[in-house]
Amino acid sequence: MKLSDYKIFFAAVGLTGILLIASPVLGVIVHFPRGEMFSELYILGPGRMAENFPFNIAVGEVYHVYVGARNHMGQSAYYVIYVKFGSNLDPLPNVTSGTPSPLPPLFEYRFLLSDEATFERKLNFSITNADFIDNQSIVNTIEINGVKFNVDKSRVWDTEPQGFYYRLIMELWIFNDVTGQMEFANRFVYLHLNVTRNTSR
Amino acid sequence: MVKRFVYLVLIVLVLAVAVSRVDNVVCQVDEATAKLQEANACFVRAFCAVEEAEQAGANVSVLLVQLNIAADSLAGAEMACRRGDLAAALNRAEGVISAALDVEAEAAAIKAAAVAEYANYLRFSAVLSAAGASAFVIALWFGWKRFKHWYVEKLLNAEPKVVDQ
Repeated sequence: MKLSDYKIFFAAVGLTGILLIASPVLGVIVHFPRGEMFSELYILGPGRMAENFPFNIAVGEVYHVYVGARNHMGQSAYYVIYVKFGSNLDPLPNVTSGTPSPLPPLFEYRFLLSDEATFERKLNFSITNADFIDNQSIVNTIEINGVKFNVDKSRVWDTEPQGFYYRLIMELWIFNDVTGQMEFANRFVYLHLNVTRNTSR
Repeated sequence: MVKRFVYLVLIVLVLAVAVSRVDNVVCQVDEATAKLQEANACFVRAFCAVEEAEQAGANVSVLLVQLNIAADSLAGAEMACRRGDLAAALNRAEGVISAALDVEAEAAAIKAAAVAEYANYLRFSAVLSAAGASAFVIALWFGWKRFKHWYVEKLLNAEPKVVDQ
């Protein structure tokens, strides 16, 4: 090797050494781009698995599921999960336009999550009062986690498939610190329910 | 005539009592709504303070736990208000305001401490890095000088060698 080649070698070693020694300061100044930031919302059945979700709901019986959320926003976030109840004809949230369901919220969970943390709670619900008149059902009250709500939701008998179909919707909202408002986070899950008169099958 | 007058007075009295009760209910609703709005505003301010402390490098896990307890109360206050249980809504909202103000003050304090600690760390790291890099460059320069001297010496002391063709 010629002397000029050794000179290049020494220069490369010098530059590498400087970068290594300055790495603690560089690590503070240089910020690497983060991956995608998003929030998760999920629902699990009574066995804490994605199965055995309640479907045939008898009046007066208590059912439970688990509802959870996970934060992947890169920093702490403030969330609300709104629980809503409606018939299967009431509009669901629209994730394309980013609009929540127009149904009024009944129960809610409010919580803060640090980055990569998970929130999970048991949700007990029961149709405590409902009327069945001819081919129409009216759900008068629903109890969620021990709190009673008047809903007065009616549904006519669906012939295909047969039943009185309702939905228990859970929407995830997140606090936007730019606007200073809670916003629909474009995440929702729901339980498809068939409200029956007698004992559940 | 007197009877009519008495009936008129009674009707006016009944109406007056009814109106005052309605006013009282409207006042209670207004008070509960206002308190709830104040609780929401305080909670949001506390959360923003915690966020700023976190971005400054502070450990906010304890504050998040405290604020989560307040969040639970706030949810209860909102639901109570929706159900018309104004007394419960007011009571819970007041608890939220008190807790949120405490958290906001604590978050501001730990943020200031974190900012000062970060500035010290940055200064110390910069000085150490500059000193270390300088020492490394100087050592490398001396090393290069010695190597170059040795290389030239080696070249000068090299004997020519005859190779058979």
